[in-house]
Amino acid sequence: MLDSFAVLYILCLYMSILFLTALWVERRSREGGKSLVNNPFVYSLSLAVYCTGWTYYGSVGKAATSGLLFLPIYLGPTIAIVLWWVVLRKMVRIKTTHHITSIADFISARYNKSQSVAALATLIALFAAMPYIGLQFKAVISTYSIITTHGEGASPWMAANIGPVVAVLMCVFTIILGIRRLDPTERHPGLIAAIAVECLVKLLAFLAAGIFVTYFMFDGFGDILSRVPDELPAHVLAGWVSDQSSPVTWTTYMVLGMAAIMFLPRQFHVTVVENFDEKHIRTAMWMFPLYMLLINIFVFPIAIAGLVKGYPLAEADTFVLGLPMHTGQKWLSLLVFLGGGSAATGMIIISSITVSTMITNHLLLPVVGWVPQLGFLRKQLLKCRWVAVAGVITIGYWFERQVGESHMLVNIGMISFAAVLQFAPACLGGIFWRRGNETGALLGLGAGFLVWSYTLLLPAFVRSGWIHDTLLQNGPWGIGFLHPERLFGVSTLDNLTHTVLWSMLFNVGLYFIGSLYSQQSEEEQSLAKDFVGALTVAPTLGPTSHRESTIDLAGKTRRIEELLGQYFTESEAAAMGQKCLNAAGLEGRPRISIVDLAELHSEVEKLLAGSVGAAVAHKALAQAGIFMPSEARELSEVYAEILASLKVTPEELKRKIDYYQEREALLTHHAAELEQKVKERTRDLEAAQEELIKREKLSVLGQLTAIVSHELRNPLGVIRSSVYYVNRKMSQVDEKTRKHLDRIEQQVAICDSIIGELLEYTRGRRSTAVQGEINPWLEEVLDQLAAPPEVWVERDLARDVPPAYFDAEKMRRVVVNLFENALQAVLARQAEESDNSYRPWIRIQTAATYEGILIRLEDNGSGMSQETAGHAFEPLFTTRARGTGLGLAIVRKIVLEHGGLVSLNSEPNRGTSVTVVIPLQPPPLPVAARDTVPQ
Amino acid sequence: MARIKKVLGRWEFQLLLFHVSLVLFGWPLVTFQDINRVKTMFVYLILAWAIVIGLLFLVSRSLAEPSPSEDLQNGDK
Repeated sequence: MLDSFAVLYILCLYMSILFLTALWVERRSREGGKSLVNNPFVYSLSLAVYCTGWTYYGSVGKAATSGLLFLPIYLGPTIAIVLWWVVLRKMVRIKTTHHITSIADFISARYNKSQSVAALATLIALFAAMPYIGLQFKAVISTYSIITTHGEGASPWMAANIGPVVAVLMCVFTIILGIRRLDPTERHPGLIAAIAVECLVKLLAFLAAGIFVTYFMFDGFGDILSRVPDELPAHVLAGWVSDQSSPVTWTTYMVLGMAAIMFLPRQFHVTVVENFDEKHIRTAMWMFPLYMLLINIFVFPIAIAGLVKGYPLAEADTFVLGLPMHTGQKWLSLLVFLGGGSAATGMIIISSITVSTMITNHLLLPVVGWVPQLGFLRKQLLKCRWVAVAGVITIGYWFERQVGESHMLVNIGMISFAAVLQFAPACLGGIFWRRGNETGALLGLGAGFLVWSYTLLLPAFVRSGWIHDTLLQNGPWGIGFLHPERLFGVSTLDNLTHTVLWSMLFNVGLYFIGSLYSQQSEEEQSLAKDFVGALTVAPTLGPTSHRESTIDLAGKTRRIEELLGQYFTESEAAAMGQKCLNAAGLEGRPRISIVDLAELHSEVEKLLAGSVGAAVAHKALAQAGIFMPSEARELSEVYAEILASLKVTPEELKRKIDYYQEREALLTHHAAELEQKVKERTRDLEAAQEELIKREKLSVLGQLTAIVSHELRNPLGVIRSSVYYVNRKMSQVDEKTRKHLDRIEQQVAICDSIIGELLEYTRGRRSTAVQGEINPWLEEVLDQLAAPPEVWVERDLARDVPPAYFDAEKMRRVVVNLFENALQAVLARQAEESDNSYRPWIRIQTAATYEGILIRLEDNGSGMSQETAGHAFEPLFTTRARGTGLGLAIVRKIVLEHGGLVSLNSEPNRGTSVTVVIPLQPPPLPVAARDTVPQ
Repeated sequence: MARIKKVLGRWEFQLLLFHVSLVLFGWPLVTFQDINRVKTMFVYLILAWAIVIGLLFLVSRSLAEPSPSEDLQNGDK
């Protein structure tokens, strides 16, 4: 349908965009700006590398052949993620402390930094990852051939060589972005950014395909689901019943999904090694399950659609691409192809990086340690990783070519999941059980791996035709009891569950037995404590013992640089040595003490572990002879002194340390709680202090205002009487003089009103409530208030309003103030409105309520914003040029003196409504009066 | 509200949610003996999944900040 070169060109263009994105992010990180990858959403998206080409294409295939059995692969991770805040955070914390680079490194670091454990874990990861990479190649190659061979544009050369082309692209991309240099943190911000983009693209592409199939080819979910079971072939339904109906199989898939999300090497890499900040886990806890839900929601409908449209079951894996393509949706098909390519290539890149890191650190370097002739390889570590990446990708591709359509490949996803399940006991036991030790881990991992190989991998080889099938007919040497798929006579389980059962039984059993049987070394005990208590804050110990600084630092630095020089270039080694000195706080010192040297030793080991793994780093440091025999003795003396000064036996010391660590954790928790309480109390105190200052200011202002107002009234009275006198004497004045005299009178009246308000607010007498009827009083007050004829004043006074206690004069002030405000608001809006449709009105209501008598003044004036309304009752707050800002403050003061309530609702250009409630009971006695009440 | 947040942020609540999820997504609530129930099961699983994600969202909003001494920016140590 599409030209093969055009498709390849678009694929290359897409990869180039990803490549440039990654380079840009890398450069930004190096230049010291905040890394874009240091973001919870990018982190959460990158976790979706879990959804590979197998998810993208294979889930639909699985749904077509086995019904809903594809779902537990994603439900399992969702369940496991619920516990991430403890489990994953612990792993991330350990990674940071111990510079962990891979899952093999993690397990090895916990179990005495054992090279054997690391090598075994690497082998398991290798066996699990290589065929899985082959599966991704199969996804890319087969979909490429589908999208290009249906038209005239198909190129035979391109169809035959797409595999090698993709393999080369993958090698180049992985090396340039993932392992261009050795990084002690093993983090790749650029690569993770590219993976996050890929994950977004594959989600969007799959959703686009799903929406097209569900809503354009059919009439939605309801329509597609209604075709089940009537329009599906009987053999398909039979397959669904037999595959998905077993709760045991369903549970097995779920358990495998739970393990895979934590322990698949690539998943461990993105969740743990590439984690920038453990707080990102919080976002990932909901965002990643949401991603899985979205990418799976259309899987079942697409599978049903393909079957209903009559596509053969054997082609179910490609329904997601085939359905849009066969309906002529060229661009949608291309998008789907790019989405599938993203899913596959993302997995290939991350897997090849993690596996190659493990191969060089845990297989190659130990061999180099044993064979002195290979010592030169230490300096070529980076190039060794390049070769390892190329090797892993090439072997993955070769695997795809060799196995092709065999039984092996289509089941390899679950076979890989079962392999990584073997990491679960050692990993989880390592972070939650202190007694777990190297022997237990070796026995558990070894036994689990052997059982997995024998019961799952070997039968898959037989079915692929690589081994003679007599093994599966009669068992080895004709012993039915040892039949790989019916081990020890268990024949009621499906193959996968059978393997999970026996491998876990042996793995967990031997892990516990081995750990309980053998003793931990002192160092392993310390590591176990570190791992299990990773989330507990250990008390920081100060200098434990004063020692003379007699050790020549320059000599030790040279030795450290020589050691680092075995793995890095001279300049890199020097820079790393300096970094360790800085980290230990020893820069610029000529001589150091033995305690300082121990600190420096620890820093070097951590840094080296970041590049070559904990096990190799530990061994290399031990062989480097940083401590002279006399220094080693002195260090032992330091520890002995500490012990002696504590006057306890080693056993008692251990118990005490445990006790104090727990106590410290408890105290830290209490300290955090106390800190929180202190913060809250401080906030309250600050608010109270502010209020007090405000009141004091108002009080001073009030006194000042009262004095000034009183003094101003006398001259105002003189002015008023003088104007009156002049008016009477000069009846024949010209119009201009008359106008000025009127203006003086008006201004004096305004001044008088302002002074009246100020005095009312600051010195007004207290309200004296007397029982009376509200309505007649209100009618009388309203009769005295004048409004322009264009303002409609509506009185809506309820009948049967009971009498209330109120101060008629004071409450008159309330009504007058509210009415004047309403009048000003409607007149202001009238002046603003350009059309004549605006009809200003003011409504006055009364009503009897449960709380008392309600008086409400409503208007349709200019209203006020929410912010202004919030400050409306504050004294001196006004939005008008001539207002004192005391009108509503006086209203509030008077209503509160009555023991009533006042509230305001307002919307700009809609109007304002002020509600006053006067209680039916007499108001509470004022403080002064209350104090004088006889007891 | 603060009380609900406190409950959601506790480790015990996460353990409870873990077990509830196991029950929601496992036997006996999820069964496929009757082929006619596949549609219902599909809708049920998607809804239950969405509910668990919603709860995870609430849990993630309720989790306490690591204390300053615990708060390590990975790699910056």
